[in-house]
Amino acid sequence: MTKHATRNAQQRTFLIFVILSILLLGSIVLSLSYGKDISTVLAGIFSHEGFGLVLRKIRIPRTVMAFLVGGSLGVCGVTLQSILRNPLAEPYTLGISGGASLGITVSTVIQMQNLLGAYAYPLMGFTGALVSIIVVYTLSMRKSFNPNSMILFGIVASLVFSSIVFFIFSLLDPDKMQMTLMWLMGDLASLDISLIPFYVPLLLAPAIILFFFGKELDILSLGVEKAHYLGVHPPRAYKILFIITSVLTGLCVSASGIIGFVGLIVPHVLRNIIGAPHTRLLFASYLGGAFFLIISDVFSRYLLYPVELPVGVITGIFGGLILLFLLTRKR
Amino acid sequence: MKKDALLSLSGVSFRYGSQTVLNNIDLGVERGEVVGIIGPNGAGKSTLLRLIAGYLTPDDGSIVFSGSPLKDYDRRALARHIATLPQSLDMPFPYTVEEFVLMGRYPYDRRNFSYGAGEKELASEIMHDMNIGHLAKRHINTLSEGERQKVYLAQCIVQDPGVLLLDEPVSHLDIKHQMRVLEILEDLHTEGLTILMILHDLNLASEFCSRIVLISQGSIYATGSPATTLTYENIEKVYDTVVIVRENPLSKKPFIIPVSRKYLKEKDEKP
Repeated sequence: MTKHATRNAQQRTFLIFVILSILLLGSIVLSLSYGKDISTVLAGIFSHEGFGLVLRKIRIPRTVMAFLVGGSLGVCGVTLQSILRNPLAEPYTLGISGGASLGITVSTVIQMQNLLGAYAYPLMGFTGALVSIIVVYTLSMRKSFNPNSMILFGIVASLVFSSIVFFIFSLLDPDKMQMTLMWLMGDLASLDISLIPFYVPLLLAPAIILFFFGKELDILSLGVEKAHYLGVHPPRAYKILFIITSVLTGLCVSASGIIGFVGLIVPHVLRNIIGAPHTRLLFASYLGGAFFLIISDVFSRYLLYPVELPVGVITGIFGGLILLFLLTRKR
Repeated sequence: MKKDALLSLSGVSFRYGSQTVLNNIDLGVERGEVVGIIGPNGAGKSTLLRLIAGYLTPDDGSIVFSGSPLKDYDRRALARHIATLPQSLDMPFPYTVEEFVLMGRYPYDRRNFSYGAGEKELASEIMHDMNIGHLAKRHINTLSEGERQKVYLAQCIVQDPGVLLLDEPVSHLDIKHQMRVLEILEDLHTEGLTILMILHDLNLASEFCSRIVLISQGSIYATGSPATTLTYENIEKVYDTVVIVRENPLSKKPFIIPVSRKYLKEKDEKP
């Protein structure tokens, strides 16, 4: 009887992964082929001109980044929701977006593009993220390193940094800030493709490490004290997970700006479907995050064609509506 | 204190800031004992349990567990010897009973992505033994208080510990569930488990514990068998409440009846 039930549960989980993979694959095909038929796309893969060039220079890089950033935000969301024990936490809860925004804004103000060219935004964005990570980390270290102090200092850092960003914005010519503003709303279009070979391993490695922390996340989600009793060393685990998730989030933000709601909504929806245990939730959220961002990117490109919307606006609207639906449906 | 004590505390003190919570505690626990820790609110019972569980570290004194200083144990190794149930657990995520109980195997099976078939079988066996097998697929948040307490306990037992530490395991339960939980503990004790638990109900402590540790203001006021510790003198002194102590006709253990103020007044008024 129980064995039968267990097998059913396993089959269900397997089925959910199959569906997620099909959705993801579908979104990738759509992202690469939108407006063209499959034969043109296949021909394009082997060609270096015409649509082949579009594919190589624009659609493939963009889809790859959407996949990696979406997946990363998904797993960071799962991790932070577990350690902060809050199903509404997201990768930006710890103030990383604020620091990255400040880095980018400063980059625009001091005209870093003249010096660093296409590397200016990614480098300055990541530097900003790193500053906020260090600030939040050292402040949290002063007390015992626990979820509450992390949230507290994360929110404070975020508020201070974004206030400085708005302060700078208010001083400057709005036209100059157009590109910065686009980026702050999440933008998969402007990353220089020469940077992608660096981003692929940098974004994959931390996510793969996180997959191995599923059981720890289960235990940590029961709270500091119970986690202790089950054999986890919570302060050590919090530090490791804080560093991995913040660096990964910082890298995502440096590549494509602040893409909200992916890290919040994806784990939230999938937890309802696949259950709370974190190992499978991490894997599912990687696939789900990648799918959600790729499909949102397709919408951002073609919803008001030829005007392209910042993808963060799309994820925000979709994510917000989905969350609203979920929250009102319950109870 | 005997030399072969499983657990021994000597000169243990603990302070929160400048406030001394526990002062110079000496306590030895032998294998197979069921120790009931009792005392008024704020006496330091939970702190004592957390020190023994290794969650807090004493400011002075030392705790030796099974021949080695407690602080030398790796957390995961300790979790294979001691399982602890804190006073409250809240669950922000919808784990099923089965998933939750299985987490008790973490100290043994950490690195694989999922728990092995053997681990799952053990968990389901224990759930059946505790009559919660039928709840396996339910979400913990949907259970009643009594069911939940059994599920929490099942997770501790799945840890396969030698020592069980429980902070008020039956305080929120009705008498039926109190008895069921304590009977489970009694069975575990027969199987060789050493149990230390904080209890508020003096009569339950008297019935189910082989030894009582009465804590008052951060120190051990009395320790020994229920008959020697649960005297009206001790209880009136420590709890500042008048009680009558009788003998339970079946178990011959002390039975404590609190005396209401109105009867005391009558007594005082009539010289």
